[in-house]
Amino acid sequence: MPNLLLPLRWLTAALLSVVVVVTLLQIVLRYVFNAPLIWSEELARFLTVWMTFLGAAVVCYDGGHLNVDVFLQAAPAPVKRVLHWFNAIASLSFLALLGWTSITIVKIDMMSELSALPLTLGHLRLAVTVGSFAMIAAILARLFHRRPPDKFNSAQAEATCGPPCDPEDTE
Amino acid sequence: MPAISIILLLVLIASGLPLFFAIGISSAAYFWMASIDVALMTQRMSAAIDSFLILAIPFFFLAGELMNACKLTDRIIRLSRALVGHIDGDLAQVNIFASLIFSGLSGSPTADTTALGSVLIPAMKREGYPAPFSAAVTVASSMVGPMVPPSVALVIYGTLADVSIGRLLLAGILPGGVIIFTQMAFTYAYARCRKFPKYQRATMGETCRAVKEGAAALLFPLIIIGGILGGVFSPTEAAAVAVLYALCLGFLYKTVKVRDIADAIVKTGLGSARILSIIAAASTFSWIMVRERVPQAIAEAISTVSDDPTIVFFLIVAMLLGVGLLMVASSAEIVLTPILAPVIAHFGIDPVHFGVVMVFTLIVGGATPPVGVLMFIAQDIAEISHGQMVRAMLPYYVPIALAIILLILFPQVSLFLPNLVFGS
Repeated sequence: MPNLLLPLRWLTAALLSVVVVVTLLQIVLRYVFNAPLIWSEELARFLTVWMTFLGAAVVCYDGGHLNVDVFLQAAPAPVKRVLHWFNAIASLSFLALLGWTSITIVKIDMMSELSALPLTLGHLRLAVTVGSFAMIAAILARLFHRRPPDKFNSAQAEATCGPPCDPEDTE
Repeated sequence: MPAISIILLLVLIASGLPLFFAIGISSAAYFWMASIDVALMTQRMSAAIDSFLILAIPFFFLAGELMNACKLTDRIIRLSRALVGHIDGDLAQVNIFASLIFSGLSGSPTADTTALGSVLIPAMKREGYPAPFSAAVTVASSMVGPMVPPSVALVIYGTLADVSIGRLLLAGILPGGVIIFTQMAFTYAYARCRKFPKYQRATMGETCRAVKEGAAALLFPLIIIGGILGGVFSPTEAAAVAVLYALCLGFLYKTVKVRDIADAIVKTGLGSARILSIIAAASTFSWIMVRERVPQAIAEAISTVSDDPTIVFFLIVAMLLGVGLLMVASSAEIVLTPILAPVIAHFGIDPVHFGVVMVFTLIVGGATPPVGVLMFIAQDIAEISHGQMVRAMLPYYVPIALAIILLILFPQVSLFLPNLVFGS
């Protein structure tokens, strides 16, 4: 059973890398060559929105979204099972609602163009639509497929202050 | 209506539903009740992330990850040993002081506990320190993580409360010193009672060598601060430069492999998605809270108890400590900051001062049962039971509480540096 979301995992990393490189390029061009870029900031923001919603799908697949599981862990097994399914169904219905309603706003915003990039606001909002449906797919995949053990499992990267975490314990 | 959606949120969070969905569902429920088009959520969620300031969050994450991959831990430990090893409780003092330096690299208490703990806890055990004590010192001191720049937690607060990131990053430095100082003083007294060993004072030559070796680590926060203060770059650009610095350092020391960099990028990408998706959802929720004037209602409710800013501050901090017991610091911060920012403004509390105290208070939850992530890491390294860990941790709540009280009572500690540099 191959890791279903591997391409999306690498896409998330690629988007982050491009955002970093574009921002550095912006600094270098402004200070060293005195020729500021007009599109760099907009591109960085645009890609970050996409990174967030596509990455969120991978996080769903890993079961890594932050939650409060004190009560869940303390609950007896039957309650745990019920909550497990309740949570899956609640997540899926919310994503279906979000994905479906976002289509309207994407269509409307296709009319308003971004200032520097040859794209529209609709392309930016599209990240929510695509992300929602990718998350639905990821949650279903998590529910119904056994996953291979994975090196980049963000579920293990539990941190008190956010994601960066020790490299040791994930390996 | 807002009451229903707040109760719904609490119930969903308690049932273990990830925050992204819990917040999303309770917001959608409000939209449905108020007959607002749910499509507005898409607009709010994408607009919340579509900001140049927000980029500082993934950049600082990545910089921290890369610095971690540089494996500077040994250099940091040698440096702190040269500086504080001669104080009573030698390795315990080194452990605490090293956390201060380490917090200038990653800003993550988890990374701090793992990196320093895996070297220092076994070393302390070898020297005859009790294992639970070694673990407790590691956990307590690692809480300074988000205080010294680069601090992801302070950047998150700044973007959500609309406070200058430059000011916040400066504001955390002295409080970080206070937190470390209270713990070192406490450990000194403790070590005297228990007759823990101390090293010979390092010679001038040894100290110089240690400083030179550790310079790369010390320089890191300075570059970030210097760049922002000098007006050379914005906080976001400073964070991007920090990434570049960490990369160069890794190649210079030849400690980082290409594989490590790829790992760090994937991990940061997914980690950022986790945090940013909650920020996206929370932006919808805080829009609802503001629309329904919930912060004003909270402020009025607090006014009935007291109007004194200090008492209000203590009340809010007590509430934050309670929340921190159950919730991971970053998620609690994202949900509460937009609601609390107007409340503290109402009572005339400085937002920079509040941000520093809030970030530290929420971190304390990482070192308390039942969800103390830091304790679980440290007890595994020290090979002790959870009960031993909790008992050893108890005395260290004294300096931690003292630090929080000092930080609340003396806003100057937080505000001195930012006011000095930016003017008040």
